[in-house]
Amino acid sequence: MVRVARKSGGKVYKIAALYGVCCGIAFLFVLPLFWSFITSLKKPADANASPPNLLPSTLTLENYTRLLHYGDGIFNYFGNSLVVAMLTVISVVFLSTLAGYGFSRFSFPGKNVLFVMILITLMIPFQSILTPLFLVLRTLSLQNTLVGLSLVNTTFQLPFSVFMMRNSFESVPRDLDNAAAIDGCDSKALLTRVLLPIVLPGVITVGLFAFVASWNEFLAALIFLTDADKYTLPIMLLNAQSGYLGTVDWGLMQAGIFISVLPCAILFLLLQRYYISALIAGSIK
Amino acid sequence: MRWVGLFRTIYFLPVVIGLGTSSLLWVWLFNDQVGFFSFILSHLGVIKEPVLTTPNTSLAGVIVMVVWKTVGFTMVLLLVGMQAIPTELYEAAKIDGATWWPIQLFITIPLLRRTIALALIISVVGSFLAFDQFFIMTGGGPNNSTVTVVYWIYRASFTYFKLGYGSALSLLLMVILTAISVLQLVVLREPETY
Repeated sequence: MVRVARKSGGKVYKIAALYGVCCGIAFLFVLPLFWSFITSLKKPADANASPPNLLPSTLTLENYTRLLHYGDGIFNYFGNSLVVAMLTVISVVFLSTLAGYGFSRFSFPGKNVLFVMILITLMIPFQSILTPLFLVLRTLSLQNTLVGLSLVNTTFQLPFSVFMMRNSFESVPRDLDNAAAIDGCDSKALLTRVLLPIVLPGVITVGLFAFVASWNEFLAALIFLTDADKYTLPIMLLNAQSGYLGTVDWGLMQAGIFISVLPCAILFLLLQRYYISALIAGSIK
Repeated sequence: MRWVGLFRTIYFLPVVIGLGTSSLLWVWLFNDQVGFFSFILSHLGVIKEPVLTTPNTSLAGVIVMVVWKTVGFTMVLLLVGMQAIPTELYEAAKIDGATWWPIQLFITIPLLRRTIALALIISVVGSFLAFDQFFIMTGGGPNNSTVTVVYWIYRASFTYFKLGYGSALSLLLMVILTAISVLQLVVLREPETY
C-alpha cells in the first residue's frame, strides 16, 4: 500500500512540475504581446513613462483614436496592406489551382520538366534576387505601386502553392474523374463541380499562407514603395518608430503593432490546422 | 496531457507575427528608457548599457527576438517528426526495461536525425537571409557589427546606389544558398526507415 501511494505521489509531483514548466514558458511567450497590448491602452504620457510602470493608471483608447489621424490615417495603411494581401491571395489561389489541376490531370509535352523548374524556383529566395527584381519593376513602371508589390509577393508564393495544389489534386482518386465523365462533365465542369469542393482544404491552406506572407512582408515593401501614402502597415510602423523630431510615441506604436498583429493572429487561431500543415509541407517539400 | 493544444498554440503564436512587426515590438522591450525587459534586466544586474546599441549585447538581443519568433515552428517540425516514429519501438524498449532517458537518447534522437537536420538547415538558411530584424533593431550597428549579407546588399543597392555591385552580391548569395539546398537534398534524400 505504502509503495503504491508513494509512486502515485511522485507522479503527481512530476505532472505538477511539467505543468509548471509549460505555464512558465507560455507566460514568457505571451508576455511581450500582453505588455504591448496593455501599453496600447495606456494614456500617451503613461506609455512614455521612464522607468516604465507595469500597469496603466487608467485604460483609454486614446492611442487608437490618435492612430486614425497618424500620417494618412491608419485606415489608409491598413487598406494598403489589405489590398496587397488580397490581390496576392486571389492571384495565388486562382493560378495555383489551375496549375495544380493541369499538372495533375493533363499530360502534355514537357510537363515534368516544367514542374521540376517550378520546384527549382522554390530554392531561390526573394532576398537573393532583390536588386535585379528592383530593376525589372522599375522598367515596367510597377515600382512604387501596390499592384507591383502584390505581383512580387505572388511570384514568390506561387512555386510552393502550385506544388501544394498539385499534391491536393493528386490525392483525389481518378475514379471520380471517370464517373464525372460518364455523367457528361467536361474538364471545366470536372474542376468546378467535382474536384474543387474536394481540394478545398488545399485552397484554404494556399490562400491563408499567401495572406500571412503578404501581410507580414517587409523588405519588398520597404524597397518598392516610396510614397508615404502607399506604405503598408510594417513600413508605416517603422516610420512611426523612427520618430517625429527624435521622440518616439510609444503608446501609438503599441496600438499600431496590435492592429497589424490582429488579422494574422485571428486567421491563425481559426485556421491553425491548415497553416501548420502548409508550413510543414513547405519545409519538407 | 490536458491543455496540450493550448500550450502548442501559445508557443506557435509568434510565428504568425511578421518579422518586421516583432522586431519593432522588441525594440520597444529593449529600449533603455521605456522598455520592460531592459528595466527588468538592468534591475537584475544582467545589463548595464542599452541592449541594442552596445557591442556584444546587440546581437544577443536580436537572437532573443528571433528565437521567440521562430522556435514555435521548429517545435512543430520536431513534433511531426516524433509523431512519425512508430509507437511499437517505444513499447518494445519499455518491455526491455529501458527508462525515459535511454529511450530518448537511443530511439527518439537517432530516428529524428532527418528532422533535426531539416530544422538546422532551415535555421541556417533563414539566418543567411536575415534582414528585417537587423534593419529595424540595430540598423547594422554598433560599428557595423550586425550587418548581414542581405543588409549589405540592401545598402550597396539602395543606399549607395551601386546596383551592379548589389546584383553581383545577390548572385553570390544565391550560389551559397543553392549549395545549402543541394546539401539539404543529399541529407534528406532517403526516407527515414524505422
